[in-house]
Amino acid sequence: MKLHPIQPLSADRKSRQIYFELILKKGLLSLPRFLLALAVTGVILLVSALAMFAMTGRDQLSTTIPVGIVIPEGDMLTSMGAGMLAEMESVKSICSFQYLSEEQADAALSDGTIQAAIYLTRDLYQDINSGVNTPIRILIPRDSTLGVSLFRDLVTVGVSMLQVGEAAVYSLEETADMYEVVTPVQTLMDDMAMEFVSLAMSRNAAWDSTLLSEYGSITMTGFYLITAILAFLSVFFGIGFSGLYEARELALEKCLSRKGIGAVSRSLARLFPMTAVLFVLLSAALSVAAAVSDLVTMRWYLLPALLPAAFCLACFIHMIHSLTLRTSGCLFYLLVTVLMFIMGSSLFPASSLPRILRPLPSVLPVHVWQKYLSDVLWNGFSLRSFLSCLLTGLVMAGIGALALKSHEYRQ
Amino acid sequence: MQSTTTVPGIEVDKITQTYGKKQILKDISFSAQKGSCVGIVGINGGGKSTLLDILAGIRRPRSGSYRIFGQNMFENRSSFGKWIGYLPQGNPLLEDLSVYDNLRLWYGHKVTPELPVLEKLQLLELLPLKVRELSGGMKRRLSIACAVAENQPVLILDEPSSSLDLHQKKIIRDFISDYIGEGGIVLLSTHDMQEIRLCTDLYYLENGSTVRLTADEALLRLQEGVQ
Repeated sequence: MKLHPIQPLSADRKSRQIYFELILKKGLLSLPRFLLALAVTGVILLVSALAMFAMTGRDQLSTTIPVGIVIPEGDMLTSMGAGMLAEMESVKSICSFQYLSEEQADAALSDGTIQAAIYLTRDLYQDINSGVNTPIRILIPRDSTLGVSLFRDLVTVGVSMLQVGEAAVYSLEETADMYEVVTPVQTLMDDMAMEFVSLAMSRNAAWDSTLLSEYGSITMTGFYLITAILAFLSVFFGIGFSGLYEARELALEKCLSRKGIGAVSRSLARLFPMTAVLFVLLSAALSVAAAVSDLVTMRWYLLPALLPAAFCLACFIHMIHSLTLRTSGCLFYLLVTVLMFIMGSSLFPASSLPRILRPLPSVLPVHVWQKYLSDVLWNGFSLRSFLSCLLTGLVMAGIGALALKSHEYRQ
Repeated sequence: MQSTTTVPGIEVDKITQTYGKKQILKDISFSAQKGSCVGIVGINGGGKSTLLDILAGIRRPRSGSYRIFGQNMFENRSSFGKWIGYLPQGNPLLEDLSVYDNLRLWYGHKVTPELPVLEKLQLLELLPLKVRELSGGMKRRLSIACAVAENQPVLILDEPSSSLDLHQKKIIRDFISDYIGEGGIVLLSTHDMQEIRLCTDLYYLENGSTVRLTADEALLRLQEGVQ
């Protein structure tokens, strides 16, 4: 045994390289086992979902309900009105109209062939125009399914719309009379009724033209696509990578710091394999989305632009696991991640949170990921969201490194 | 073992450590020569691991000085690894990887079957096995092999053979004896009777202060502590 001369020691490049290589190996070794577990979980979830779907009755959710509509014979205007109603998207998605006579409707309702019936009266259109409140009879069974409940709500909303329309038309008539308007009142009322109906019927267009979103021109489907991918990656792979942060390896952290492999190197060694795997998976998920739908368009910069998102995601996993290293906190990780997605207005709007918590979603990492990905995918690359993503990642990586450093002094 | 100096191998002088208002170590002082073994004994929670952490360069004390072959260790923290091999209470191992991989982390590419420490600690046959497949004793032997990778002249062992069977304890004890025999200095904390008998100097750590004892006195104190 020979004594070494005193010389400043910092881990040489080779030691660091070997450590990086071993951590990468450890990370990759745990991956097949984890993927297998994930596949089994996926199959179990799929089977459970299918079983639940079969048990709760698929017709409640996936098909429209048959509704009988009774129009007096020869009433062309009422028929046209009913036809227009039947063509509305919101109506078509819930019910399908069957045109029946009154007797047929009664019989179909009692034998369950139809689940609701609307009885329109003769000259309904003229009555509305002339201000006569002719009642419309709608029959809905007491023990209704989900589809029928939705239909009932649709009817209630429709009635409210008509009442508002009526009020507007009557107020116009009153005002015209009051000011002795030269234009015939009936012409004004007809024009206004037409305007109102055209606006009310295409109500989605009004929303489309005034869409305001922090995420730019992202659609609801796009938002939930990236949220689902992020939730899947952060929850499942966050737990999968917990093997890199085992409480029983605290002594190793201690010894590595003596060897000169500090907390920053130990953080980087973990971040590298995690970022690589998350990058591959994120790219794969979005490539599949681009292949099967028009929602995502592959652009030349898309894949390299996903790297910062994968890095930021890896930094979050690193931060939480490093903070809970002593307790091997998989459960804690799961809790924090799920809470982050719930509080981060991914599932419901921030306005539904208590007032004091409303600023919270904008500072959560999930918001940064969603903003960055929505920019990259739909709004065009933004330097601001790129820097925000990178800085958030670096801050989380720094917190993780500090946590690892603090563990050196404990056992 | 060749020495480059005639000064004492280790000189610990008035080391003090506090956690908040609680004083864990009070003016701990001792020295050790080449080829000696210093035992630190005492009841659990008495500050043994804290003292060994300080001497291994993991923590800084509140005050005191510490020299190895005349070099002030607290002035150059980065030299700890070259001078001192350290085995903490837990095993510093990557559990999912093989014995060979773990040795490679500390020895680099020098891991060959000819490495003397592998034979001394009976690790040769274990090289291809995963660490999580090993028994507690095997893991401890591997941890010791990792600790001495830099061929350091001082070895600090924190309870090297606690809860191991007699056969494993003997292998570790033999290794310590050889290490001392080659001129190395061992600092160890232990509750084991046989290991206590290996020590040339024994210090009982109580209420943060050390008392120098013989092996028999130390054993008696430990038994009293248990009772």
